[in-house]
Amino acid sequence: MAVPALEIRRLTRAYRLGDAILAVLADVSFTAGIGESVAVVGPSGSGKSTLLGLIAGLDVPDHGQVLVEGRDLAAMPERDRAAWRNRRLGVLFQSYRLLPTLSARENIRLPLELSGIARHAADLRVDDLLARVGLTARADHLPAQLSGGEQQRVALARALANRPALVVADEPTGNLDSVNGAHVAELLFATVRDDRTTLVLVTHDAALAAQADRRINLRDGRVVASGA
Amino acid sequence: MIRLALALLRRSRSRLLLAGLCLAVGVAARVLVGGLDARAEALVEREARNLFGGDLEVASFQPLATAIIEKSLPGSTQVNTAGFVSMAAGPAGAARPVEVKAVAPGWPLAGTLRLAADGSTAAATVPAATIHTAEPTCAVEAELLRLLALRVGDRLRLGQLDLRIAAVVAAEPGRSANPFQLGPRVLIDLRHLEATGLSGLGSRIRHQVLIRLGPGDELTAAATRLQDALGIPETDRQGDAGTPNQGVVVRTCRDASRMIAESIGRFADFLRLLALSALVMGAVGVGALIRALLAEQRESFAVLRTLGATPAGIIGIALIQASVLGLIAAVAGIVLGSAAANAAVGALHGLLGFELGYGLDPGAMLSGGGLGLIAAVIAAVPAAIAAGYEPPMAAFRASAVGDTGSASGRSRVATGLWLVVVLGLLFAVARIETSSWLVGGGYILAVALSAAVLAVLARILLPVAAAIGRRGPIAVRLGLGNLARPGYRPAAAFAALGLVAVVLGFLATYRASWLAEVDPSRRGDLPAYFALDVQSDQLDTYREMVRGLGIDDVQFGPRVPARLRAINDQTAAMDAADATTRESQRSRTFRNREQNLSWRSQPGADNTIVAGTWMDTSATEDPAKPVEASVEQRWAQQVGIGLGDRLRFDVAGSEVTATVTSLRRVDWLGFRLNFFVLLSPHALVGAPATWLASIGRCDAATKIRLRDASAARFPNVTLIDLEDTGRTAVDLIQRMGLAIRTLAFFALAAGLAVVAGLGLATAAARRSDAALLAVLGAGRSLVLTALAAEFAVLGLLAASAGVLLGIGTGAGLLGFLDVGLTVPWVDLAVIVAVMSATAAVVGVLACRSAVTAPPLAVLREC
Ligand SMILES: Nc1ncnc2c1ncn2[C@@H]1O[C@H](COP(=O)(O)OP(=O)(O)O)[C@@H](O)[C@H]1O
Ligand SMILES: [Mg+2]
Repeated sequence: MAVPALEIRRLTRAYRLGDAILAVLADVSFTAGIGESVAVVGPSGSGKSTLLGLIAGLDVPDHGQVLVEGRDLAAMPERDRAAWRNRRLGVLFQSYRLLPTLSARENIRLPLELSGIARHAADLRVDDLLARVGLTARADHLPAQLSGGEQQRVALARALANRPALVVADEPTGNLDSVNGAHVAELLFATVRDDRTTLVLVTHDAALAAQADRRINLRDGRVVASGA
Repeated sequence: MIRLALALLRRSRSRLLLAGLCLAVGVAARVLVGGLDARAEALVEREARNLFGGDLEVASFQPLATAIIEKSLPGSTQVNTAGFVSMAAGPAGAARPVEVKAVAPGWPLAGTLRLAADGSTAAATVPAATIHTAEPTCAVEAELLRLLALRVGDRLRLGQLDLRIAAVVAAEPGRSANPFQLGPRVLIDLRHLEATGLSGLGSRIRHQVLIRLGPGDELTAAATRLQDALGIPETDRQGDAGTPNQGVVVRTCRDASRMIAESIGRFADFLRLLALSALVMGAVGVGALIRALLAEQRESFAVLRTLGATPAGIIGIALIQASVLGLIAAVAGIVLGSAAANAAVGALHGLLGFELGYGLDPGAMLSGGGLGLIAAVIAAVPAAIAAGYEPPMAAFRASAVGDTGSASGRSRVATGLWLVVVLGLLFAVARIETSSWLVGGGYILAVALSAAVLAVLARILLPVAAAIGRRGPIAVRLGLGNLARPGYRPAAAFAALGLVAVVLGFLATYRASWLAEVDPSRRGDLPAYFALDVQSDQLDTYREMVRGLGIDDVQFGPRVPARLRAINDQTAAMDAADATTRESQRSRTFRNREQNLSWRSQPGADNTIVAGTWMDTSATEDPAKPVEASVEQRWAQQVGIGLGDRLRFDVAGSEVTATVTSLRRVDWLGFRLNFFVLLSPHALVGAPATWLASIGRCDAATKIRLRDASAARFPNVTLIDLEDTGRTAVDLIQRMGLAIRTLAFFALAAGLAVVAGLGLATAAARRSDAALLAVLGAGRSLVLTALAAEFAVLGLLAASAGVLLGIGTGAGLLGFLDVGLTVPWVDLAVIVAVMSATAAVVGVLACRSAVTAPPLAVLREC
């Protein structure tokens, strides 16, 4: 059998708050195949964002492993992890997290620049992405000059810039009204389907979760149910 | 990456500029000092001939024959002169010590002598021929006319000669370059020297032949040729620091200008350290400001990490941003410093009497700007490392102001290493700036200790102040509460202001202590006079004269001129080329100059033997007895000798070798008669000695009677009035004080810029605080009072702590120099008050948007 795009093995993460220890994730395991979309659902505070941070290698688990294309993230040197994030991973946040001093175009360009792609190739790719998210006309605007939906579309373009193998999205429609939310979700699913990109999507929106191939239910840091 | 680093700063331009300004002040101070120093030294170098009055001179205490000079320097021009110190008396008998120069027509050979018809020296049009007449005439400095209440046309007595004052000396080559003068100048014609009766045997008249070289003759080669022709041994050729006790010395204008340049340089070193202090303060502020700037970008950095940037990449971006800041500082500082230097040239023109020259100083600009740039980058390193290693998830979760995340182990180690590098670099810079290991090391020690103590005090005092403030009214509670708010970085402002106060407190204490030691109006214990050049056969009659006036306290000490030839059989003289540090330059001066040997039976009340034992002075008859030497400890240190070393002196042509058997500590500021080197009496028997005397305190009328009687009966004896000397020293300290105060002002400006910068960095957070308060019904005056209280207390605490540290630093240095400590409490209280007030004003101004911004607009921002 082929190596899964993402394999989570018995992941545990706790925070120390003074004397108390807060277990946020306890023994979470699941896999996602290539091109598969997985929705992680659960109430606020159930540990969804913590899980995504671990998958993105932005945080280190207390126990367990995150394997991406068979490689243990925690075992990689920081430099390799950075390169993996740059080329193989795309991240989408609830609150967009665009760099406020960069224009839409510059934000989308960032991953391309970090990977050292030739300027001309990067220009073409950025234009293509702008067109795909329908923001060609707004390319030179700063984030503050864009609506929430537009900002999230810029963030989506940025996440997809290097054609990642894995996209993780943390409540990508959570800050948007239903129309704009639906638009972003449509773009997101269309792209991952077209490019056979693996998607881990965190949401508490049942309608959005329903679009995924599979759902995982998280409650108090534990997987309580999982199914198609 | 550079583009990205700049793009991330797009919103922070004004703060970046202000942060740059913190450092720019230090850069400007360095450019100012470096520029003036370079100009002064270039001027001395360029004007070497004009300051010297010619190219080179041959000097001796015997009259010189010029034939041999003419032969070895064909095409040269010569003029004979003679110089000595003597008493000059007016017709009423009132006398003063003067520096007499007897010159042949044609003097000077370079530079200009300007004589004026009266005290208004602006119109100096009297020809030099006025003093070269058969009738004995002289030109005197206006100061002498004032002291003796004389006018041009009056008579002046020099020894046995009565001269008519024909002109006022308005300018004389090189005269203003020497701040240490024993009296005003009297210029006479050389042909009248003999008639003064002061040129007899045993007198200390320095005969010189001033030479202007023929066209094309090179200075150094000519000097060597002349030395060969005069038969001056190789070992005696390093004599530019001293005077010849026998034989002949050749001195070039370059030797003379080097000495002037060295003394300017030493003062400039001190100013450079002050400039460096301003730079250090700026760097403290820039470190904190960069931390604030980076904290604002932490979310962006976390996003970049998410997109694949490495920690090293983030650190790189942060350091590029710091370099931009450093460049701003360098450019602004260079502009500011160059402008200040040129303004100072104008201001100094009036003070010095000559113009240093306008223009730009590439060397000073480069070193000042370079230091600023380096300081910015180095100051940013810890914050950059922290930003690089901050876990992205922590950044995403935390709010922008407030907690900046805890440092990881790795970044802690890096920060520790950084501290070591900073101290090392600072030491290296201080060493380069002062050309001295000792001064550089002392400086870095003082800075490091002060910074460490201030850092500890900040941790203790600021929370305590906040806790105390909690009991006060609401405005005070809010204001002082901010002193314990880590996100506001009050500790950095405390450290910067504290360092300023250390500098100011140190300078005030140091100055006050010196003034207390030398100010004659505050010293009741000073002797009235030092008498120079009493001849052996005048001892008894001189003592009688002094006693006859009712003064019992008169002590004589013999002075035997000598040269130090060898230390433990190694040549003692040092070459100028080997003297690269200030210490070795001083060592060279001490070794090469004329030494005054003396003897006495007891070490004296103001002497303490610190090592070895006092010599055996019993048997004065046996010439085979070994010769012992007791030397003053600082002299020993400068010359580089210790107990047991053998010193070989040349005393009037014969050799005396003495073994150092004791080191003495001398209370120089007691102003009693003391000598660096005392030898066993039997070694100096028969050597040509003149005597010095210290004449004890007496009332003003007796003092004047003694002076005039001495001048009339012992014209060869010069009386130095210690009150005059003290006043001259006070004057000198005051004049240096101006330069020092200017630099201290720069330091204060740098400290205030830090306060302003940190205020501005926190302005946004303060705005939202104020807006919330407004929503809760608070008025603007409350916000204003809270701000003022916060910064005033911050300034008060930092200034008090710093001033106390400054006193400590001053006490340390003064103790090292054996100077008593005088603490100018009033001055220091003023410093603390002014710093507290200015900190409050600057802080409130920097945060004024918290008071002025409409609350609603602020709330929409959040
Ligand atoms: N750095 C942290 N320190 C302490 N507690 C944390 C930290 N990060 C997250 N938590 C806690 O972990 C729990 C899960 O948080 P999170 O993963 O953000 O949940 P979700 O995204 O599902 O709402 C919450 O109770 C949150 O307060
Ligand atoms: Mg969440």
